[in-house]
Amino acid sequence: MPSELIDKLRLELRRGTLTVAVLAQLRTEHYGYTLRKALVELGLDIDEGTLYPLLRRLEAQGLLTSEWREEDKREKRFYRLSPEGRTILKQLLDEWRALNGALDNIV
Amino acid sequence: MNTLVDHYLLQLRTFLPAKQREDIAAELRQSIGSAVEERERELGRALTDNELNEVLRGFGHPMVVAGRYLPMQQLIGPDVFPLYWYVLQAVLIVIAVLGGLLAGVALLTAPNAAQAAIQVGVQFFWFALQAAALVTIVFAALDHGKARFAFLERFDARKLSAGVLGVRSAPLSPIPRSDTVFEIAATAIFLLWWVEWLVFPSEWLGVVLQLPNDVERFFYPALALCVVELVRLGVDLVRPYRTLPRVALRLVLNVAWLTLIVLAFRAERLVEIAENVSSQNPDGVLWMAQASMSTVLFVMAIVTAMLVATDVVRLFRR
Repeated sequence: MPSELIDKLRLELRRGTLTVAVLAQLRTEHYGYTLRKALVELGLDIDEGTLYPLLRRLEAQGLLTSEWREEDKREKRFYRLSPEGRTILKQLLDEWRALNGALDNIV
Repeated sequence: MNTLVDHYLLQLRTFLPAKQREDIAAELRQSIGSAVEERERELGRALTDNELNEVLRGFGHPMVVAGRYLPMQQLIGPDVFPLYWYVLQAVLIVIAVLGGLLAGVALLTAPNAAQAAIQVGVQFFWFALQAAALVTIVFAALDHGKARFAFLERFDARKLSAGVLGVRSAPLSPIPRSDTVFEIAATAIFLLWWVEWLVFPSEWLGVVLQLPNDVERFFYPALALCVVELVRLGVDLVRPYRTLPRVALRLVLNVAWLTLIVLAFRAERLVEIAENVSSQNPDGVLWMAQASMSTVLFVMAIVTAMLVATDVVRLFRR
């Protein structure tokens, strides 16, 4: 039970931060596979089944743009932050820093 | 690409929203391809089926992955859920109490009591399932339509403390919701019986019973009292605490019920035979029915008098 509980709480804690991390990482253009690799290398493990639907949702919300392009003889879908996404990311990062600061003070 | 991947994507496509199906499948195929290529580079050879299976397991079950692309991620969201849960519980409790009471009546009156009680139980089980499904569908539709419940957002503590007719008074004590639900069910059953929408089986007695005119003359007063009671109980359900005006209202209503019961007792008979169908001993049946009605009325009078006394004490203590 304690491990189930910690898994559930960790999931809740990660849910919002994944979106911020993906938006921040897409300040530079990536396709899904390299985006996941970059996030994992930076210490944020995210599985494909979560990442790809998240990318679609963020695109549908107008925060990302995407295009199919050929690279290494293979068609790939590249994502990058939209101008609106850039504005939202700035606000989210401000919010994140404020939360982080508050949490630091509390703990 | 490997047939394992083809099958995986084929399965996944069946669950995807039609408009994006090809696009999403193409992107996932490309992503799986990149993952496979990298793994093959690491190993220096083509992947076995087991290794490929591990790569696909990293993506997740096709149905789960496809589900994450769907616009609707949950049937009823957290905003609507508390109200949904409350309404569902209230509906199921009322149905359970009604079912229990009717099963009890069937046990006491039907010729084949156990069979009749089981029939009532089964009918109410299906009725409860249908009611639960209907409530769920309605709330899912409200959530899907992004309905907002204005009364939840415009919450005002001052209005919350207002009682019957908007009269505000300090709360005296809480009213258990289970008590209110039971009272609603009992009042509703009495009301339905009183207006003859609910007829308890009596054919097995061999006679058709009816209320005499002496009792029938209380039809409209009892009907009015039932309606006012149901409104009062509805308020109790939404605002489950006693206030001075609400205790006073219940006191008035119970005094009125007590008066009706005493007047009914003064009638020559509480029940009479409308038609003798097959009884060999109609006088005996009438005596039994009269005794049953008298007992029920007597118990009702005692309970009502106790409620009156309790409310008088509450008011005077205040």
